[in-house]
Amino acid sequence: MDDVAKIKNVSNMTLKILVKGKEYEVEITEEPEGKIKVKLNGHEYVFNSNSKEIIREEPLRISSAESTDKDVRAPLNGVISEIFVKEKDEIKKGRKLLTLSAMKMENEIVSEVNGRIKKISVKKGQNVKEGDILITFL
Amino acid sequence: MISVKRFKKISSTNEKAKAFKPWTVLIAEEQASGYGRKGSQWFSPKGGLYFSLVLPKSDIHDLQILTILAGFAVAKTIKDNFGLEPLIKLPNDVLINGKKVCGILTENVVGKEVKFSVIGIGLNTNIKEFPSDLNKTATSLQLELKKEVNNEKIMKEIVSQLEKQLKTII
Repeated sequence: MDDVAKIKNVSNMTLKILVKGKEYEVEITEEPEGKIKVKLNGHEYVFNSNSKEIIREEPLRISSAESTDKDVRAPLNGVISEIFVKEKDEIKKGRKLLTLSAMKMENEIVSEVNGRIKKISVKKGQNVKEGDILITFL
Repeated sequence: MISVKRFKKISSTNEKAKAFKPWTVLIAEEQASGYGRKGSQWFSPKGGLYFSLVLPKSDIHDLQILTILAGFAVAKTIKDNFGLEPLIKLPNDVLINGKKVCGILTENVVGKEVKFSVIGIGLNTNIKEFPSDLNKTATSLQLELKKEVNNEKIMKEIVSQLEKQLKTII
């Protein structure tokens, strides 16, 4: 039975699969031209939906191992609607940094750390993708 | 489970709601600076229904349906109680006869994950007239029904509908 993959949870095309007791998170998204993209363990694999051959393989731009507390990243694809801070500002945890309009919602991004801002990598009105670095702390 | 805080006049129920615990509803008789998406103004005189519900943290990818659930709750309440035919203009407006009667603004406060969310609902209930710039695009329940409606009853019904819907994602 241990060799059988069990689908544990299904939400928004993200599956948690148990194989031999180890849990893997697999995200499946449809791409244009009938392609299917599968994210697994820090890699993206793109398939033609009618073939098992991998047509493109690339590392994810972020994996949890690379992510640090010093980077503030976009939680979703969207547009930067306001920026409330400047480079070199001293910021306390919980301070509102910027707002990101995404999926017709306004997302207030707040600081998780106390620290000084080294770099603001985005401008008001800029489109960003999920995982993009928005602000870096020293 | 849900507690209700009432205000005569505040800047905005959404803005104020960010200081309250999840499952609190803030309701105001009027808003001095009610707002919609991207900071647009929401006409909020006395007579209208303005309230916000604070929700606990949840997965940010699930949140995209929050606004739609709220629109559904508003439309169902209008249809069930008044026999009007509301149309949900996805994802965040409700229209009657082609004019906006309700706007919904979902705001999330996000650190590494979503800390909490606020759904704000502005429903034009007992509004007799709109300024000239809104006259052609906005309507109210009073204008459609030619009578006043009970804001408290409508709020309670929408919140109860929302609570039922939200159990599917939170």
